[in-house]
Formats: sequence, structure tokens, C-alpha cells
Amino acid sequence: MAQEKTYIEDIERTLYDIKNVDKSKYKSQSGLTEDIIRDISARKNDPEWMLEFRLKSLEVYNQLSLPNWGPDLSELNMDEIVTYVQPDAKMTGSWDEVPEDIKDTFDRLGIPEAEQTSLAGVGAQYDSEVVYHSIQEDLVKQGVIYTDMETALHEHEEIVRDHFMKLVPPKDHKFAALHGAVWSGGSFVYVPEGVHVEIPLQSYFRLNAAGAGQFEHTLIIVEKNASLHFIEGCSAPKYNVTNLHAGCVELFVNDGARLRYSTIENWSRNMMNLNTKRAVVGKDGVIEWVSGSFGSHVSMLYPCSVLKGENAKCEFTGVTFASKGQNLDTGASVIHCAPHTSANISTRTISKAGGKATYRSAVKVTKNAPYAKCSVNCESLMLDDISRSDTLPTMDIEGDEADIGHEATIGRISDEAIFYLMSRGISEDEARSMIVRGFVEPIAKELPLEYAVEMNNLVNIELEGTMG
Amino acid sequence: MLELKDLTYQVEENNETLTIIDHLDLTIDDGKFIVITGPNGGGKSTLAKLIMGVKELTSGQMIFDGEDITECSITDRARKGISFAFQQPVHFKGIKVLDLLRLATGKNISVNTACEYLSKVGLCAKEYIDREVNSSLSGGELKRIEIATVLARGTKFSIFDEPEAGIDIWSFQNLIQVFENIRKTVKGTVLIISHQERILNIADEIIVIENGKVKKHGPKDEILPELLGTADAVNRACSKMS
Repeated sequence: MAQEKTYIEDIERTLYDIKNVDKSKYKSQSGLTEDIIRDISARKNDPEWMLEFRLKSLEVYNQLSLPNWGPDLSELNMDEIVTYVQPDAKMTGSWDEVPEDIKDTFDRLGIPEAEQTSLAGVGAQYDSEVVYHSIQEDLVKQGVIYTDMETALHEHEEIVRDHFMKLVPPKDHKFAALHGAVWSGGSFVYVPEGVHVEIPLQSYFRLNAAGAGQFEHTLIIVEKNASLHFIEGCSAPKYNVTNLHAGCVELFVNDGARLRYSTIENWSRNMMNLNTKRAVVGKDGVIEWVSGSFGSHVSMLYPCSVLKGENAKCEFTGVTFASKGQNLDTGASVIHCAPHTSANISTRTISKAGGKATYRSAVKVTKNAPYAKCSVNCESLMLDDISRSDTLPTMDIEGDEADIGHEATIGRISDEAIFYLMSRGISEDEARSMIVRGFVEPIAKELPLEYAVEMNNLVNIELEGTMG
Repeated sequence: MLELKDLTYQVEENNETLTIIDHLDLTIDDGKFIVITGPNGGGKSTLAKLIMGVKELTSGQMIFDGEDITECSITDRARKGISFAFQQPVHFKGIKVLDLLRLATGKNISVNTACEYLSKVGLCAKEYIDREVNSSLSGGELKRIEIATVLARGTKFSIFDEPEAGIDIWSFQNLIQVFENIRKTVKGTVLIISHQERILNIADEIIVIENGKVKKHGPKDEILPELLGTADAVNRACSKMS
């Protein structure tokens, strides 16, 4: 009889750890000074207002302190971080024009293949600049814009100016300010009123240079009654110096619109991932976050949904897997600002081999949001005695007639469950992996499996043989 | 055939060594329908778990079909043909009744085949096959599903640990019918831990375990009257006291 054989091991990183020789065309000096900011801005040919914005952000950065909560960030020394690495490649719409080594990297990650089979558009960023962007012609004809942020800044300057860092102002926190000062690359999406982008768009961010930072900015505007599924992927090879990711995602979901934003984050274990994501949702609009956090040394990531219009909705689905040497502090926040707004947050965290996973959530219901509904469900699983899992929910309810629920469980795999599966002829390792798979199943099924090639490597499910 | 030789199982509790199974010897022949009974705390369930490998022996030897399985893991014993019905099937999120049955057989069995196993335990299969295994199912339903999974395994040696525990009288009536059916149809050895007269009544052999030892072992016709006699005597004594 053929036996199903499954394992859940550490995330297989070989694919991501292939390093290219650093052929960057230009690298800024390490550290953060006004001269460096001016230099980046000049090289990017920023409009004057953007240079001013960067310099103001730098001022804010210098005024703000590191957060006094969450993971220890003392390992991060900004004086050692190179904030701008320009690859030796120009943005193009043809993979043939992308330099061989960079193209090979994205080939290995399966991006061109996914573009052929299941995506309506692709953006590929390498270090600080986007090197490839494409979108299907029929979407262009419908007025959909999908391009890199630099192009958007020049070709759609007014839209960018009206929205750029309006949802996440530099004063929000120190790393938002850092982002405002040194941002580079990222994707811009505009979906006109009533247009439904049926097939997802995907942007992939690859950081190759050691000791560098990546600060891409993603700005998505989904106009009234339009819809979009956007997928973001990211990875980097491992170095023995600290890399930094401080991206920023701003999502504008207008009345009656729907946006699904899926992320599969698999940074290397030397990465500080201090990312900020926020969405504002209009009347009857829906934001759906699907978030998989698997990589990085330290992560702080709490996508925020501002439910601004009546009946606006948020669905947040997240999975975090912290293994050896990882401290992943993830969660979600929701701000109910209008009547009858609703949110549903569902997360799973797994910790093993001494990893630390923290779920942190904040739910705020303002006075203007009567009849708000919010349900939070977070479940944690520790696979051994040396790992740690914490759940830190906060709720601030001012609105009347609110219906708020919070459910949290933290557990270990029970011996009885293992024995049960073994008594069915399954080995102990296989039994553990089945339980973990069952645990993440409700979340895993939401992840865009068919598009994100690395998903197979994330919770490494190795199937040998077949059932039956 | 299962041979248990000089089995001992001890636990440490409050710095004291408690002997739960005490130098127990027992041979169980193939194809028999055997019920193990005895007073609570006598070591019945422990013995069942030792056979499956869920608990580890302190000393002794187990031979199954001529092979020493003393050091075998639960998985190995399962693969050699021993099955164990837990008090309830394992619950994990998302698992459905059909999944449990497929897990038990180790095959991607068809819905129709799975339904046949459910029918054998008196469940209307179509209603259950796609249901998630969780607290929406009653204790009696869960128990019967668990029994169905052991039937689905179709192994040489099946152990049922107090199948009647924790279910209501109505479910119990159904359960007895299930075991009466198993009695008629299953070819391998069936070992049931039970206190129930109606289950004892369908046994080929009855084994009485007390203080970690085999107190009695013999054909039902020989052992059952003795047991009932004892119960009658207790009942009579109690009625006099009242």
C-alpha cells in the first residue's frame, strides 16, 4: 500500500539564498544624512515637492524615537545600512531586456512563469529599483494603470501627490519617517470606477545587496464599484549583516469597491522587516488582507484598516511561522469610523525551534461608528518547549451598540492527537505535520497558492508517493 | 495470537511507585471476541494502552503472531495489524468524517465505501460523511464514528476501550447493536474493555483483571455466571442493608 508521507520542516531556503554578484550601478553611502537624501532624490529626478517631502521626513525621523514596545531593534544600526542600491538595469516591459543574472533570479522564483499562466500583470523590483513591469493590454484599454512608483510620480503626478503618504504620514512612527525620506521603487495601481480586474496583479520585491535597505512604496487606488486582487511577494538571500525592509503600502478602496491584498513574505533570517500597511475603505467597500509571514529575523507588521464609510468591511487572514532565531511580531488593527462597519480578523501563529511569535491586534470603534461589528480569532501553536507565543489584543470601544468578540487560544500539539494518528499507521513526524497542516488549513486555503510559487516552500510540505 | 508475558507497568506518584499492571501473563487466540472486565482501577484500560503502545511497559514482553513487538512504536504496531478505538476520534480543525475514515484505511477510499462503514455503526452515512469532526456531533455519534474507523482499518486485532463510557442510554442501545453486528461479521480478534452485561453476553471469552493481574480467564459461559452471581450477591446484600 502506498503511504502518504509528509513533513513539516524549517522553511526550505535554498531557492532564496542564491546570491548574485553585486553588479549595482550605484550605491549610496551607508547611513542617513541630508546629502544622501538629496543625492537619491536627484538620481531619481524627483519633482521639487518630493525632495521637500523627503527632507521633512528625515527631520521627523531624527525627532522620533524607536518604539518602546515590541521586539528589540537594537541590532539595527542605520549608519551601516545602504539606503539606495541602483541595479545596473533600466525598467523595461520585456524580460529579454532584463540583465541575465537578474532575469535568472526571477525565473527561479517562478515570476515569468506565473505571469504567463495566472497573472494579469507583473512588477519586479531588484534592490532599490523596479526592473520589469507589465500589464495586459485589455486592462490598459479599460483605463487600469499598473506601473512602478517612479513612472507614476512623473506620469500621474497629481494622483500620486494627492495620495502619497496621506494614509501613513511620516509622523506615524520612526520607520514611516525613514520610508518617507528614502523610499524607492514599488508599484502604483489605479483601477477606474466600475472596472473589475478579474486576474491578479503581482509585484515581487527582491533584495540582493548585502547590508542594504529596501523601501518600496505601494500605492493602490480602487475607484467606486471596482475590484482588484493584488499579490505582493518578497525575498532575499541571507547575509551575515543586517538588511532592512521598511516598505509602505497605502490602499484606497472607494465606495462599493473591493480589494484583496495578498502577501507572502519570506525574507532571509538577517532581515529586519519593519513594514507599514494601511487601507482606507469607503461606503460598502471591502478590504481583504491575506498575509503570510514566514521569513525575517525580526518583523513588526500590523496591517491597518480604516473603515471610513458606512457598511465598510475588513477581512484579515494571517499566518505567521517563527522558527529558530526569529521574532515575528505580527497582527492587525481596525478602526471603525462609520456606522455598521464590520471586521473579521482570523490568524494562526506557529512557533518552533526557539522562535518567538507574537500576535498583536488593536480594534478601535469611534463614537461615529454605532453598530460596529468586529470578531477577532487568533490561534497559536507551539511545536516544542523552547518556543514562545504571545497574544496581545487591545480594544477601545466608544461607539454604541458595538458587537465585539475576541477569541484566542494558545496550545501545543497534544500527545493524544499524535498517538491517535500513529495508531492509524502514520509515523510520529508525519502525525505532527498533519496536525500543523490542519491548523493552518483555514488560512492556507486563502493564500494565492497557484500564483505564489514559494508557498510550497513556506510550510514545507513534501509529498512522497500518493494515497491509495 | 497475542502473548503477554510477565507484563508490569508502574508509575511514580508523589514519590511512590504504583504498580498498575503486576507481572501479568495472558494469551489471546486469533479470531476470538474477548471482553475484558473487572473493577475500576484494576488496570484494564492500561492493559489496552500497553498493547497498542500508547503507554510504555516497565518490564515484560509482548509477542504478536510470533513476533516480539515489545519495542515497537504505536505506528509499527498499527502497521502490523493492531487497531485501537479511542474514547473519541481526534479533533482537529477542518477534519471531516470522510477524512477520518480515509486516514484509518490509509487509502483514498470512495465516498460510497466510507458510507458503508458508517452504515455498519448505524449512522445514516450521507448525513455524516461531510461533517466536520467537532463538538456539533454528540458523544454517541463520535463514538460510533470512531468505531467505524476501526472497522475500516480491518486489522487482525482490534481493541475498544470502554466504548460505552460517556454516552446516554439511547446511544448505548444502538452501540450494543453495533457490537452484536461486529460479533457476527468481523473475522479478526476483537478485544473490548467493558462493564456492560450485554457486551459480556456476546463474548467468546471473558477476562477479569483485578489489581493488575488476570483474576479469571475463560469461556463466557463459564465466567459470566460467576460474575453475575457476584453482582447478584452484592445486590442482595445492598437490599438487606437498605
